[in-house]
Amino acid sequence: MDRIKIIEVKESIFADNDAEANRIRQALKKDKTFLMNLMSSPGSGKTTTLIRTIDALKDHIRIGVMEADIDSAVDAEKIAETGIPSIQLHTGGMCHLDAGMTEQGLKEIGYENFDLVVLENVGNLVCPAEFDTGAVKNVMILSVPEGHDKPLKYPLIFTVCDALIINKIDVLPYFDFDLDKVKEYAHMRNPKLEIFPISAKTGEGMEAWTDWLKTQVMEWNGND
Amino acid sequence: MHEMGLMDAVLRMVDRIRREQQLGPVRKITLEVGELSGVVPRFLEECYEAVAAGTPFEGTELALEIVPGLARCEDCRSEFRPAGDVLRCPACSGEKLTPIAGKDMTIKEIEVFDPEEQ
Repeated sequence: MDRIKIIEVKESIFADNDAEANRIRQALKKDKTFLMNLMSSPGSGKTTTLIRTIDALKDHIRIGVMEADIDSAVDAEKIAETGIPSIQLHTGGMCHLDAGMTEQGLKEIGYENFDLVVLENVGNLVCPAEFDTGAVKNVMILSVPEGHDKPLKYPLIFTVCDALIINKIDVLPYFDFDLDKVKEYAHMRNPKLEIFPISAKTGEGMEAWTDWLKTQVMEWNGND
Repeated sequence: MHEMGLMDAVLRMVDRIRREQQLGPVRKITLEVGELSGVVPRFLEECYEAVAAGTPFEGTELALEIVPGLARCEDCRSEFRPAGDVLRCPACSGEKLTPIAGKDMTIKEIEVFDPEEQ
């Protein structure tokens, strides 16, 4: 008869991923590279916001982009037009990136040659929030047409983010979107969350956002 | 599907523990799943079979132990067990809720065949 042995584990299912993410952050710190994990729903204007952000910062800092969006052949072409190096990551059919996949991407792009590497995560508000990628800061884009109740429906992503960009504020008059409510709901989940209402289309609010990002990059890389 | 990535993480972690501790073949994995962890237990079971297929975990057993969720209303300070997708306090209809238990997903234990007896 087979003998059965019980091994007590009692560890979070995220324990291994979190340990790897912490190793990535240490390597980034040592090599003076800032990794930003950008998350959002599909259609929130993530790529357009990213292109505007790159345009504002590319003369000051060296930027690289890692694309993980599922339909990102189009996105990758748009990023390529900015003249910024970008690579495509493969999630192996998963709905998120974990620390292991991010590490492979960082090696492939040669992260130590950049001040800022942007990880454009899979367009989804659930899975990417659960897996720490090793990013220094997590940023989420919420767009006006998605509605102001998202912090109530997807609480986790708001708790793991450092900054929330509210995009498409140019269409506020046409939607039943309460900007104060979304700020209140989001701060309820995460009192430290920085909130930047912007329009990537008109450029409104972009300066406050890119100034914040630049300051974060400089502080992390130790050249502030 | 959300649960697919979670089960993939579970199997990789169990495989790492098995290698490190030089354990025999796995028979059963027991997970503790919090009611507020945002996963659907039935989907976990389905994804487990899919992720385990074609690996040494194929045919192993998955046991799920549900950990009750508990939330606190920040307005009236009452504590309650949230049901379904209700996002309001049953006492005062407050919306400022803080999850205080049942948020996590944990690998509780693994059962292996003892290699010496094989």
